[in-house]
Formats: sequence, structure tokens, C-alpha cells
Amino acid sequence: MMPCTACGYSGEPNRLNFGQFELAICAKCGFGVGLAQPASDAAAVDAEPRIEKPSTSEVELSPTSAFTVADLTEASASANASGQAIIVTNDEETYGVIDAAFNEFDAIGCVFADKGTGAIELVMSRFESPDSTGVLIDTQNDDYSAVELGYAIRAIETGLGAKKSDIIFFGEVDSAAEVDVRRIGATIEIGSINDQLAVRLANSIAERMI
Amino acid sequence: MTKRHILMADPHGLAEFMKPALAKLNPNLELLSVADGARCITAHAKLCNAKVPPLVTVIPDEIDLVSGRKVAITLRTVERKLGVPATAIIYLQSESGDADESKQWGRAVSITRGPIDQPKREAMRLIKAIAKVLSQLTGRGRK
Repeated sequence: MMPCTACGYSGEPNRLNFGQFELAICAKCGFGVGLAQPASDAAAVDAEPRIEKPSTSEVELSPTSAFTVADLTEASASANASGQAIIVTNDEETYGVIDAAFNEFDAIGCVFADKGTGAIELVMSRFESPDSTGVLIDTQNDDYSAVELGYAIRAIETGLGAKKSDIIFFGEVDSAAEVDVRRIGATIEIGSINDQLAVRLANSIAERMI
Repeated sequence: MTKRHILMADPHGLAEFMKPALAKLNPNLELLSVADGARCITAHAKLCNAKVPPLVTVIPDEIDLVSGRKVAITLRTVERKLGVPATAIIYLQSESGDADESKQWGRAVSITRGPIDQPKREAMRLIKAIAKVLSQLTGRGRK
């Protein structure tokens, strides 16, 4: 048998038998070392793949073919996300809808600011925290315009050398503002606030906090 | 002696006319000029973080990225959060501007912005305003 090209191990490889072929994998590192037709006729007519547990000298692995890539990566955003979301809006209906959407995420705190300066204070309070901070800014705010607030937050982060927060604008946005949004390094979720948009916002922030 | 700073959001390039006059007024003063509202907030935050907040900050009402009014209230928020003394604000307001809000910010004065086609004259007017504010800060100005 050829030695494994990845680790050089030259011992007997583990074999995974499928109906039409046999896959040899290194017993030490799991690297694929060969693909061949089964030697016996019995294996060739075996329609169901037989899963063998590959083993190494130290640990026994679970059968690799028992899990698809999708199985391994399907963990939901809520499973690993943690941090603080700061929602900047002065619309009461928006409060309720977004608050409900964030209930799914146990490890993401959700605080509201109805004024731009309140949001700035909340963002600054997070500068020492190791967790991520997401800022969701309602574009309909009239107290401190959304784009100006985005620039102000970035300016303070730069001035104090703090980690940049994730900024997402939501609501109706005119095309001129999109240039500013890009300069700020933020994203936009366009549309009137409703349950779907709120869930989208919560998921979007959660994905950034993994 | 440690240099103290006058911070100025300066979209019209007045600082170059002001620097020689400011050096005569007080050689320990340094004029820092920035082009827009966001950079004004950044510069102020840096100075506050270094525990040397600007003595005076000059903010025109109409500047890019973040308007003068928003810059002013943001500076106050940053100062409060960092626990540093408030900078004195000179707010340059256009004649057609909104009602004077500077009184709400504390340690702020509003003056009407002069014509930008006479930069030297406007620069000297600002130097006089800064000198007056500085004299009040040191308790030597007229009430």
C-alpha cells in the first residue's frame, strides 16, 4: 500500500465500502488514499453502503459518511450568537415588533434608544465589552437622522480606537443615502417594519454575532 | 507647557488665516482644523480620550456628514460619558438658520456666520470671538 501523501502513514488504511466502489482513507489522519472497485462480487452487488467506523491509534471517530456537510453546518444562528443589539427608533410599533423578533435569541440582549444621543451613550457603554454590538437604526427617526447617527458612531469609534459595531439601517431609504451607507460600512434592510422584516433584522444581527 | 487645542470644523479653509493670529494671541494654543462634522467628532473624542479636551470648538451649522447641531450634542454626550470638562462651543449660524439652540448645550455661544467670500475678515472675526471666550474661561473677561 502506498503511504499516505498527507501524513506519510503506511499502515493498512480504513475502507468505506459503497455499492460500486471502495474508498480507502488513511487510518491515522483520515486523508483519502485510494478509490477502487471492490474485490469481491458480493460487495459489488451490495446496494446499501456499509458504513465502517474509521479509527486512529488514539481515538475512534464516528462514521464520517453518517453526516452530510449540511448536517454539520446547519446549526442555527441563535445557537452561537451572543452580544447586544441596540435598536434606535422612536416609533412604538417598531419597538414591539423588533422586541418580539429578538425573543428567539436568548444570548442577544436587546435595548432600545429613542434618541440619537441615547444610542451613542449605549454604544459607548459597550466599548469595553468583549461581545459584539449591533446597532439597528430606523431611517424614519426625526430626532437624529439615521445617516448622521451612523457617521457619528463611526467617528467616535475611530476617535476612541474602539471596535466597530455592526450597523444596519432599516426602513425606507432613498438612493442618495445608499452611498453614505456604504461609506459608513453599514447595510440596509429596506421596507416598512413588519414581522418578517423584524425577523430578518434579528437574524442578520445574529449572523454577525456568531 | 502642554499645548491646548482649539478645534474647528472648517469647510471653507479659514484656519490658514487664523493660525498666525492665534499664535500671537497665545503660543501655547494649537488650532486643529477638520473638514467635516464626522472628523470633528473623531478629533474631539481623541483629545478627550487623551484627557486634553479642546478648550474651544468652533462648529458651523452647515457642514458635511454630520450637521453642526448634531456635532454639538454629540460632543456633549462624549464628554459626559468620558467624564471630561466640556469644551466651549462657538456655533457659527447662518442668518437664515434655525432658532438659536446653543443655550441648551451649556458653555456655548452662537454667532452669525460672515460671508465666505471674505475669508481673512471672517478669520479675524473668529479669532476675536475665540479670544473673548478664552478670556471668559480664565475668568478675566467681562461678564
